[in-house]
Amino acid sequence: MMNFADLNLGTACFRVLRAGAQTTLQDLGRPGLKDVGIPVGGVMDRQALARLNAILGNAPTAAAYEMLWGGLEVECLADCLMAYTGDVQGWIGAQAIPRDRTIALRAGDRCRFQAQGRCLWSYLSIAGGWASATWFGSASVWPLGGMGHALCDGDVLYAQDPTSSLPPGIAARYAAPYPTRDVSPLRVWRGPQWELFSPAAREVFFSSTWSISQQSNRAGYRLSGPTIEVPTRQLISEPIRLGSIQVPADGQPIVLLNDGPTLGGYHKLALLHHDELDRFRQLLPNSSVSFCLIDECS
Amino acid sequence: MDPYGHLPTQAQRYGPDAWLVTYASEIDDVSFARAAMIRQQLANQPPAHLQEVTFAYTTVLLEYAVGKAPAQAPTFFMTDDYIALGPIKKIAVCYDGEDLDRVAAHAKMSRSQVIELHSSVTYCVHCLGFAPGFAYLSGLPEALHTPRLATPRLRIPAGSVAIGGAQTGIYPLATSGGWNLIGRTDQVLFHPSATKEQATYLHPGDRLRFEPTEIV
Repeated sequence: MMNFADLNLGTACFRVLRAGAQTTLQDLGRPGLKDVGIPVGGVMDRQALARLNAILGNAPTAAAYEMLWGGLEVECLADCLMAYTGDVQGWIGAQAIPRDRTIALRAGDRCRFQAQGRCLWSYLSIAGGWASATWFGSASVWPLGGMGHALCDGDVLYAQDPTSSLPPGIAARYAAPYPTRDVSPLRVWRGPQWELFSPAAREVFFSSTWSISQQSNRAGYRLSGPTIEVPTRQLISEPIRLGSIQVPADGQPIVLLNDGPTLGGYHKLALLHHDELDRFRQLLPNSSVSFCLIDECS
Repeated sequence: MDPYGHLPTQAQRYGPDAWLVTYASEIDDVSFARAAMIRQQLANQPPAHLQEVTFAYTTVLLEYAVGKAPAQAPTFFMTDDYIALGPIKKIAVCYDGEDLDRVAAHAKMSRSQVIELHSSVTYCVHCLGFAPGFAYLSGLPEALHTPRLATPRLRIPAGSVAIGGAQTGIYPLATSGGWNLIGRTDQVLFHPSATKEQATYLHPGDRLRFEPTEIV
């Protein structure tokens, strides 16, 4: 059981009026625990978290609230310095507020974040960072593993140090072009079962345009498209890396992501290049993607 | 020099920063013993920049810091570490699961014969996965192999002891699942608020026995 002294409740900073589609606290996750069945978790856009923490003067490892799509609405309970990043438009009441810079909020302000429809995940944080429970050294929420839950209407968000001060507005130089317009094929490495897939099956994977299925979540994105012929040889369950592209019996690939399984018995055709993860994870359901083998990308 | 020689393994790249090492071809005592040897050698001489080690039944994944994986595949020695296999942990089970009759009927046994057989053998914890603290075991007697349910249950209580096909296991958390429920244990298998070392009751390399408790 948790010791109450570890709770570090901090100062009540926001009350959640509307929780949005799915809002969870996330940091860089909890590496080093896969051997006991715990995936790394953490933010779906690492560059966005790095940008936000830099803007706010927070540690690079500080957690932020990750918003899926938009719809989050909060009431400010204490004066604080807030920033957000991602493809949402923030509002204080009827006034639009810019992303990627610090905004001074006063108790009583109501903020909402509206999806702009081009990227999936956006992030909200405050100077000084959030106070929250941690599990194995990480604040990343993973409901399936008993580690916290997504925000609900009425939740109160606690700040570690809301008096932490930076001059408002100074950090706009960190603003990044958003959303990315990069639609080039995603670079992949060969997966462990590469040789077991027929050349024809590999050709289907690389020559097709895939659509990201609605049946996707933080554990993995399903791709829909033509059927990839799966090797007949059964596989004994083996360890899985983040970004692995496995092909189950239905021939429709799944890209395994942050909250995905640590072991699995499906054949893995490819592994998404580490530097492509953020761009891939920001893609909306129904967007189109294609892939190229790392040493054959033009 | 090691008198026992190299452990026969096959290693392959899994992206630029990882090696996937296959150390056995079957799930058996040999794979279990070899995993113990590899685990011991990784603990004795931790490779530089190694960030994550993940064991499965016959494979182990070694993930390194970006750009730091060794050019040569890691190799391991045969040792006699298998003599010092992990401890035998005991799990008290109340065998009153909803599907105990189904398992008994499939095995053409009485309920008490199923309980006696299931609790008569020592199981090996090869790896953890699927859910935090969920152990992939070997050792289920063939007579107790029972097909999974046609329709998985949406919610199985934490602590359920179950049989699915050729496997038996314990659900550490309430999840959905299609295995036959034969009993339940009060043993907590996963502590989300613990330290890493104390997160799970079972670890790869452990062995375990189920001990029937009196059904009141």
